[in-house]
Amino acid sequence: MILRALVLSLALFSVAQAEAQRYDGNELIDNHRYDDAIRLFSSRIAQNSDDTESRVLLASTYAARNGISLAKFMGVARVIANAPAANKSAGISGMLAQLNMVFGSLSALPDLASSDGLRDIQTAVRVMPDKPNASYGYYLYRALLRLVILKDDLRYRHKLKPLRDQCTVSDAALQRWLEGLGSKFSLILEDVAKGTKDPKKAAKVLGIKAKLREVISPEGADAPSETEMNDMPEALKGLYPC
Amino acid sequence: MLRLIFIITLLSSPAFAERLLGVPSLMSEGPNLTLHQSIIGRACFSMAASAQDLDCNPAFLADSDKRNLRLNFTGNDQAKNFADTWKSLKSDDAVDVAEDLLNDRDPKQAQAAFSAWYQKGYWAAGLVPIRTGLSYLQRNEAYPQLSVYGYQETEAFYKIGLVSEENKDLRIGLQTRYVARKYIYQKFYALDALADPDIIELNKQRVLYVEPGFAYTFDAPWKPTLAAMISNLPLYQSGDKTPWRPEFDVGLSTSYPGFLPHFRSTTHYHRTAGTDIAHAFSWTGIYDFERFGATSITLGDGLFGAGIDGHIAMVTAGIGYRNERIDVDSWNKKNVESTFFELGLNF
Repeated sequence: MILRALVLSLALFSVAQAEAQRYDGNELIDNHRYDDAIRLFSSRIAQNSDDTESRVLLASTYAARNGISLAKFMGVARVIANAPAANKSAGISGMLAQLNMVFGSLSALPDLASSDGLRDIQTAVRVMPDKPNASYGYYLYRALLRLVILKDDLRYRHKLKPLRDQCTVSDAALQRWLEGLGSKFSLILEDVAKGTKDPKKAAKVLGIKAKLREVISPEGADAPSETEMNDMPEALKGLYPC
Repeated sequence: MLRLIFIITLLSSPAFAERLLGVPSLMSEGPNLTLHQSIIGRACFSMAASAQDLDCNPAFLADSDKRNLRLNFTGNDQAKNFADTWKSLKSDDAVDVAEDLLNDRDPKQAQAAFSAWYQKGYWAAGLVPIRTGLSYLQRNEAYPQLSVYGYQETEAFYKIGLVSEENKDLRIGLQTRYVARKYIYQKFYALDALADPDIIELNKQRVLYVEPGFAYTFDAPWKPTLAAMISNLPLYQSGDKTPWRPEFDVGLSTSYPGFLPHFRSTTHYHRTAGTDIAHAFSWTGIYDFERFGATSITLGDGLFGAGIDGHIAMVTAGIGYRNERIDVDSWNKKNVESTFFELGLNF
């Protein structure tokens, strides 16, 4: 009788085990099955557009396809996440110090190998719209992906070259480029604010964003002081050739 | 009896248990108070322990004449590496934890236990001031997901084995364990933890387990013995919800009188959630050097373990190796290797 019970129990146990085999899709990315992962996460999002986990995993699939591993640049994530707390000074110099910190961390970010890579990361950002149920990490990840795109923009210095010869900040082309850069950076700061749990720190980031807009708007564009020029990231110094 | 086994099996089935797939399962790791227990794992439930060792299945205490007091430490080589990680876990420093764990993509498992027990024939009582284990796996480098099991617990146990005068072939036993533990049993994304360290939950619980075992020796020259044990069966529990579930073990052990008088072996069955049926079976052998020590070997599907310990005067020392395959996902199988150490004093 006992033996019969054991056999019956083992059989039941085996059936239950098979039901337990359910994975969440991360293993597809681990095994470089990016097309399968994109199909899986896209279909989950189609079924439920508020599935933010599938959205971030879909974005990470595009990132993984281009060799962008968050595990390798966790230090940058830490700088971004802690940026609101790290800088105590106010005003434009405070903002520049903040920007310097973030731009300084850009070197740790991976370079995109091709224009396809850039398109993938732009797609990754697009599949992560604002969602009320999204986690803080969701927005920090979007900020990091936007930083990768920004780095790619800055990396192509040839875009700046025609502008470098001109000494007028109000030049339309330079202004457009500057505003484009400013709006990209504003989006990054917005994401950092949304990815910050502490409301005070989030407000601080939004304050930096407001100051940045003041600096790049035509009305409020004062030339930076010598000290501010010294604190400025190399990438931005090119904007002030005179 | 039939009904009881049926209910226990249903309770312990993975359909009722959450599981972090691909992570070395600490929840069903089995006893690990001594080197041989750590090496042979749950197979110790279906065979009697060596001369200086402690029986896992209390039914085997029924006809034991051992009398000793033992202080013991056993742990594996990963335990030291994980000490800092565990410290960070306890201090809720999620960022440190994430950065520590992100450095290594392979699944890891660490364990260590300090214990003291006294056995007098058919009963034994003991205290485990600290037993700790940690295992983890990282997935998706682009947006790292960490699966982490970690626990630190204190335990007091009492076990007793009984045999009737009428039928000495059937032995039954009961083990009671009171466990107070802190644990983490969670799957989370590293960036979520970085942004909000509060998502890592440190759980606490106190549980009184009642764990019955039995052993029946058939009348044959090689003394085949069918032994079974139900472990992690809670009689009382308080605190946070438990990921630990009742576990069922059964095995058939034999000795080899005349041929290899100091050798015993068992074929053991225990199914860990998420693994295939072949992984559930293992074969284990123990060769006793009488009172001077023992060597054990265990083999299974993707499993190899071997250990040796020796007793000189009051001191027991041992070393062992265990290599276990983990089915990380549908495509990946990785091996978790551990070297175990033991140091004990016998009085």
